[in-house]
Amino acid sequence: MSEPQPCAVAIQNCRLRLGSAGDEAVVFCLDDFALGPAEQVALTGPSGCGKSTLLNLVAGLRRPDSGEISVQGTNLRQLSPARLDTFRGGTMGFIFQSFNLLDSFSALENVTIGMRFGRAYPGREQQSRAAALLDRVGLRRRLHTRPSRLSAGERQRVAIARAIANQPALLLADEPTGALDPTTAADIFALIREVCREEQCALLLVTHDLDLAAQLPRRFDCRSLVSHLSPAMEVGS
Amino acid sequence: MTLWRMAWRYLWGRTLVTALTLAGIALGSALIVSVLTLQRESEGGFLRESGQFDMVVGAKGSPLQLVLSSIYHLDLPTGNIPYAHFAALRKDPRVAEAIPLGLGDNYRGYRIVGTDSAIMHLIDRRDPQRHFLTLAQGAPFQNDFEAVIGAQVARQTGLKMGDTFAGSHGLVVTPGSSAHRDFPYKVVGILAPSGGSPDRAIYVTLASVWHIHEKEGEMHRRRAGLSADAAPSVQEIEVTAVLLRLKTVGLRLWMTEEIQKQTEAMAAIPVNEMYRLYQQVLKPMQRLLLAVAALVVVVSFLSITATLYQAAERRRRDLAVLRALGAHPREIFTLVVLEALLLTLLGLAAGWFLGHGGLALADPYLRDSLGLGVAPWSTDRLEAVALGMVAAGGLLAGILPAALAYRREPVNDLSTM
Repeated sequence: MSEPQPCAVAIQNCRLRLGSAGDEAVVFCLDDFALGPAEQVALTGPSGCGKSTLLNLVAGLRRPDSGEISVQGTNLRQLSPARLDTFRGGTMGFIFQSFNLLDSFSALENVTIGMRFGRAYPGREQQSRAAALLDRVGLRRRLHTRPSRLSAGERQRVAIARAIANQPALLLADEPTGALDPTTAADIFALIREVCREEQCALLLVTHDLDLAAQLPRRFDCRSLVSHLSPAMEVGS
Repeated sequence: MTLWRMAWRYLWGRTLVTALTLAGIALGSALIVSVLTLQRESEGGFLRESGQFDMVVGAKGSPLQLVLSSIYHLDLPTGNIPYAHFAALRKDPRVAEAIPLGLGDNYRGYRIVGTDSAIMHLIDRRDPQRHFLTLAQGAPFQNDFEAVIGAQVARQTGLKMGDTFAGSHGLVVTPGSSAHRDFPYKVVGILAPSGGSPDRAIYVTLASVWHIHEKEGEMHRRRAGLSADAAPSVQEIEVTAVLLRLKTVGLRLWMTEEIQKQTEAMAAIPVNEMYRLYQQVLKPMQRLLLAVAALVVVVSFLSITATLYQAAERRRRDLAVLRALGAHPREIFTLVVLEALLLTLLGLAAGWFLGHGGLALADPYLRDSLGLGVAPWSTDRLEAVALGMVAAGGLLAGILPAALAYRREPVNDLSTM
């Protein structure tokens, strides 16, 4: 009998002080959250409610003041900074609203650079897999084009190819359709879901678009993640 | 994709700034390379050439002028001395070789040096397998009005074997100076290039020089109504200088003092004079140039630091993305340092070619004007050390921006997420 797959993400009693407003501390609090293997979840809520902070914490780009965050069964707190970087590169993929492609490099190079730091594929395989992925997202003829010469939709396709290049267990997408027109946004959203299914990859997707969020099997409302605590409450918590 | 390649691509993503910074490093390195090469070559050229003869004897005046005029064919002679001095020196048991020089004429700016055939058989002290004057074509002069010309003379004047030419009065070309057309010389030999003063000289018999001036003297005497047949007496015959090789070098100082005291001539030790010139004039100039070069390089380093700092600031998002993709902070550090290193190495390479290439272009001018034959592409350990220090400086210049990039938290630079 095969062992049960660990949760893609498991969060317990997570606290992170974000700053202060007057006498009150602004604190991110999440007591319990789990994302199953290959599960797709939409994170929704108004601006400033803590969606992006949640993604940063899961990515290990921020460390919580307390609580535990595990990705693929690995407790991020137990990893040294260098190992956390390696773990992140090999386990997670990122899609940003503003694409965050490297302008000095071609589409193909953007994907191979992601693979270089992800360390999941040996150097000689990176080029061919990157080309195959760009072909998969419909950019066969744009391999050697720089991001500045691609349309917004094409740039996000490159970002998707880069995000899944290391066969991550978890894809973190922060408003991936926020900078796209509605038609392109729908295409990109569908593409992200498709590739996640193909690659057996869990998806944590931040979006303001409730229609898109409704298409995902599960929606997590982030409205209650950020609290304003008085000093007394902060000590108590 | 390797970090080297990424660094390279980032560099050329900002072409203008990279090119300007490169130009600064290249300029500084070129200055360092050329000053060091000139220093090495001038030491080698000036000082080694001065070692060909142990002493020079000539008319009283500046010892340096005597050395420059008789060995390097650069300055004007201090005057003439009686032939008897030469005759006495040749007989002196302490003297191994005594070569007389008679100067006074030039051909298109190249000095006609009256001497005797012994100069053609002198051994080159730098390379005892060779002669001081090595013939590339023809034979040594045997008779009056036969000439052996230096390699540069042949190249610049176009004179070939068998050609004839007439000298002009004076040691430099002066407008209106008369050519001795009645007494043409015939080229019987052409010297191989030596990189030294013989390249710029025309060697003839001492008697040829005397003969021309004697005949001109006759004409002057005839015009003055004096007897044209009155030949100059032995006492009237003069030489401009005498080059000496001694049997024992240790006798130089003693003989110099003896000549100063006992005759109306003056003796100079070429090595000492050239070393003094080198220490008092050339070396301070070289030091000044090296200081300027070092300043240019330091400014270039500051420019590297500023450029990379600005680039790292502009690329904050890129570097944060790389961190998000799994790059370690030390890889980010390495990436920025590699950019500095590439910039420095490229600048160094360009500077090396610029410096040595510039010297190669300036070589003919240096030979003509200073008599300094340089090997423009030669290098030595000092140059390698100096360029290594520039490379290390470039590396250091990259460390500050690299450290700032290393310490930056990526979450602050990813606009959303």
